[in-house]
Parts: sequence; C-alpha cells; structure tokens
Amino acid sequence: MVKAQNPDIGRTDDRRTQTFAELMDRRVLDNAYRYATLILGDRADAEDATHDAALTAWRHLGELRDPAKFEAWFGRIVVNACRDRLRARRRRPVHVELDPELSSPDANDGLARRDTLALAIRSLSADHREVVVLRFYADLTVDQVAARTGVGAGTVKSRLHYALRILRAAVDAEDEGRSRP
Amino acid sequence: MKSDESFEREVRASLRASAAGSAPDQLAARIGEIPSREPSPRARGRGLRSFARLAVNLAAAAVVVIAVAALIVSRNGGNLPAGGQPTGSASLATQGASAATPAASAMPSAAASPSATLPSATPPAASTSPVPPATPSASTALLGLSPASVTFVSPNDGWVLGTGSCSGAPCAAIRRTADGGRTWAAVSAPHAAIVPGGYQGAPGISGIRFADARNGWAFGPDLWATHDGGATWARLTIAGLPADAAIVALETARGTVHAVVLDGQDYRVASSPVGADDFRLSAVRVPVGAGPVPSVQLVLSGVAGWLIENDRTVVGGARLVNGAWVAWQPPCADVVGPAFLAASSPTELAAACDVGLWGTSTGDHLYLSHDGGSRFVESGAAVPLQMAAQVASASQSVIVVGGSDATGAVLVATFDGGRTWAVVAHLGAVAIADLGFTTATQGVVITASANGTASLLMTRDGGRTWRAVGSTGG
Repeated sequence: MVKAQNPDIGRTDDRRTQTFAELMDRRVLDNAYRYATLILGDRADAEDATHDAALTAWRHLGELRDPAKFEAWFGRIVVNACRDRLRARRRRPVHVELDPELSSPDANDGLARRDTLALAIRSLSADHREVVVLRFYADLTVDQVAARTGVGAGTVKSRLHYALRILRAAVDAEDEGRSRP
Repeated sequence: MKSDESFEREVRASLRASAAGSAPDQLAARIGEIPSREPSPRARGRGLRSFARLAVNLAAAAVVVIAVAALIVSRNGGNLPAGGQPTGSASLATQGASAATPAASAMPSAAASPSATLPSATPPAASTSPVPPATPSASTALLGLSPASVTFVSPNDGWVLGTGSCSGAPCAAIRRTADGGRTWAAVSAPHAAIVPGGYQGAPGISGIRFADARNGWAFGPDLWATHDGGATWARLTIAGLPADAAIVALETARGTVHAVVLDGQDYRVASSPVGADDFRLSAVRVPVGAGPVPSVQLVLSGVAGWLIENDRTVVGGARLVNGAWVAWQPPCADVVGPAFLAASSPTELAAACDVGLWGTSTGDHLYLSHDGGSRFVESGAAVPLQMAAQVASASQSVIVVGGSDATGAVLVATFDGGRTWAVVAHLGAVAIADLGFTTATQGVVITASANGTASLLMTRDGGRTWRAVGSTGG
C-alpha cells in the first residue's frame, strides 16, 4: 500500500527507469539470485523469484525512502518472493527435486560430508534455512537477519540454534555411518 | 565433535559451494526490460496487495501486481427490514474496500451512508467537468471501462471508477448505475490519472466513494470531491498536511467522510462533514510498519469505525468511538500474519487472519467480534483457502472471503457464522481487488488479471453466485 516516499524517486518514468537501473546493478542481482537458489534449491524457481522481486521493487520504487538502503529493502523483497515460491509449492502437489547442478553426491569422504551438509541444509524447514543462509552465506548479523525476515532477534537466534543442531546431527550421523564397515 | 566455530565455518563453506554462480544473462535481460514492459504504473488500477498475495498461487503469474481497486458499499444487514428492501428512512450502512497495497492494494472496508432518504435514482445532471466532457451518456448494459473502484449508496445507485478511453488515450472515467448495475451511463470524472492504489510515485486517483447522490470523492493518492453528483470535481488539500500528502483510504458514514492520510511516518485520519470539504486531522497516529509494503484498511459501519494496518503482519490500528479516533488493538496482532476486517454492524465484525503466514503457517482463520472490536474469538474451522486478501460481511452469519486455492482465485462463503464453508466462485488466474456487500443480498467484487484487464462481478443472492456485469449486460 502506501509508504513514506522519497520525492526524488519515481516522479517521472524516465527518472524511475534510471534510478532502477542504477540501484539494480549486477552485484545486487547476483546476490539476490544466489540467495534464491540456496533457499529454493531450484534455479528455475530462483530465476522466477528474483524476477518477481525485481518487478515488485520496480512497482514500489516510489516507496523507497532512502536509496542508500536499496539493497536491504530489496533483500526483504527477495526473502518474501522466495517465501511466496515456497508457499506456492506447498499448495501444489509438487515434489521438489534438488537441482543436480547444485548438489551432486561424491564418493570422496570430504566431499561426501560437504554434500551431506548441503543436503541437510536443503532439508531444513524454510524458516530455518532462511536464517542459516542469511547468517552464514549473506553474512548478516542476527539483528540484520531479524530485520530482513521480519521476526525478532530472539527468534532468529533460536532458529539458528536449532538449525545448527539439526545440521550437526545430520553430519555426525553421516560420519558414524561411514565409520562402520 | 567439532567446535561451534569450526562447524559454522563448515556451514559457510557448504553454502558457498552450493550457491549458484552469477545470475543468468537472460534473467538480467528480463529484469532490465521491466521498465519498458511496465512503463507506467499509472495505467494500472489498485490492488497491489491483493495481487501480490494471489500471485503466489497463480503460478503462471510471476507478475506481482495489478490494477484494481474498488469500493464496495454494503448495507447494514442488521438494520435491514425483513426481506431486505430498504425503506425511506432506513439507515444504510456501507461496507467496501479501500486502500491498496499489496499490493499495494485495495482493501476491504466499510462505510455507512446514513441518508434519511434514499439517494435519487436519477442520473446526475449534465457535467461541467473538463474530462471527459460532461454530458451523461445514454444508459447501456456495457460498463465501457476497466473498473478500478466501485461504490454504492443504495441497492440501485452506484458509481464505478476506472480506466476509459478519451480520444483513444487512457483516462479516468466514471460510470453510474441507477438500477443496481444492470445499466450504466457515463458521467464526468476528475481530470486525473488512474494509478495503482499502492503506488505514490505519480499523482492520480485509484478509488471512489459516494455518501449519497450528491457527495462523493475520488482518491488515492490525490483527493477530489464532488458535491453535485459528479457533475463537477474539485481537487482538495487537507490543512496541516503537505499538498501532496497521500490519501491511502477513504470511507464515508453517517454524514462524515473519513480519509486515512500518510503524514510522514504515520497514518492519520482526517474527517469532514460530507458536504463541507473541511477535513480535520485526528490526534491518533498509527506508525508505518517495518515491512516493505504496508497497507491500511478503513472500515466503517454506522457510527463505528476501525483502521487496521498490515505490514506483512498486523502492525496497529485505531477505532472511531463517539466521533473520535482513538488507539485500538486490532485482532490477530500476535499471529505473525495479516488480518483483514469487515463489519456488518457497529458491533459485529469479522476478521480473516492469515495465521503464521510469516512464521509457521496454519492457514486462514475467521475471528468474530460481537462487541465492536474489543474482543475477537476464533469461529469454526480454518477457512478453506490460502492467503485471504478480502473479506466482506453481509450479516453476522454471512461472510465471504476472497483468496486462492490450487485453481487460482476463489471466493469462499459461510452462511452460518464460520461453522461451515463452501467455495462460491472460482475466478481463475486473477487477483481479487475488492469485495463487499451493497445490501444483505447484493455484493460486488472486482477481479484483475495479470494482463491488466479487470472485471466487475456482482452477487444478487447473498453471495451464493457471482456474475460479471457490464460486459454482457450482467
């Protein structure tokens, strides 16, 4: 709906176009796409989510109060776009396959452990995976993750704690399995 | 076992290894084309919030926006005489939609139109407004515009604001019906662009409301008023606010028009007698939330009113008590999802809450209040749809919710106060922009597709069936 607006943004189509092009540079786009692939585990979905987010950003550009905060603002939109995709999957009887390019099993123990961890990350609930990716891939602080996801810092800490516990358990189980004859 | 720090490094390494490379060039190209594909939000109507929510379901629609907003006015079912027919002295409560988001977007709300006598069914006199030129056209079954907003002041008398054609170019247009939507005649419109309700980057209008046959407003983000049934329109400003302060919602009831205005980082309510253009700001402020796209819904019923702000989750609210807006704790403030409100009387409210939408989702649930919004209690089982975005209430028992399921947009209805639900309309790949009742049996909804086409649908049997009007004679 309506938000405080930077009067310098979006008053004319030409200015909006120029502002959008400047703010949505390749680095911002790449970061958004990478985040989406990690959350969604599917490149086609990640492309669509990134495009949806960019479209939303374009349409709401007039509501961006501070252009210097575009990346954080757009980051929240990307988070929402990914959540939308995940919810759409829940409503459709769709079996989500892991992108083979994003995780391929390997016989090597070190790589197998990494693959186990990657699979475990992908198996996390969406809420847990979201905070793990934002904290450990995007390198956001707990407070920044809280702002990005719209939940409290305490909730973020709790989700991180449980997510890491789940991941550690998965890796430990894999290690234990490999150590057996 | 590895230390926490060591394990976190391992997690980081795993994520870096799993992350994709750069965004594909074709994606960059698609995004680069957005400004040319979406050249002017002004050409679209309101309803961004609704569309954003519905687009989740509409897998085909990667697009997240829309073009519609509408006002729906509903008669206070509790005040209706038996048989639902109005009397000359009946107080008409109106319920409708206003304010847009999310989607940006158009939100349901309510207003009451307390005319001592029913508004005239006679179309307004010839217009002197500049665009489009004034003379009302002959009535026809065709609406002849792409609807963005609709308002009724009686079962028969309504107006639709939308995008029409002026010498081949898109322009704001208004149609009036005096027979409950069966035929429509062109009347004058403000000289303004139709814009999406949630977009403030350009001046224009996205919604329309009338209090009676003479007094009406076109708004969002600009504010225009007519006091001669739409023959002439004047642009208004509100004292104490910047000239370009955005009107985000507007409803009218009991001889007063209330407008929600964005004042800096707060929403405030400005109220005026319907015939005076004398808006006074309320003291209460509802802060803008932290999410990217806040939306405000204004609901009026008789002398009561409610303002609720969602910004992904319920952020805050205000309530009209004894003629003054005061702070109010809206329903579902703790469910980690948005709430959508409707009122069928000053005491009977219905809230559709998307419980856990931004946390652990448990679906949409209906909450009812029988004391004017002081206390809400969950009613019945979960509402059988996803992402409710609109709700309308014809009475304590009859509640219609707009949202989506696997087939696309749907309307579901309960006729027993939420105990049981049924799908009453499958609307396909569209966004539901507004939903409301104009009487206990007559209701309205506007749908918008991703390609920009919009339709007005009406029910004449209390929400059980819905048919398009204005396109085939409805």
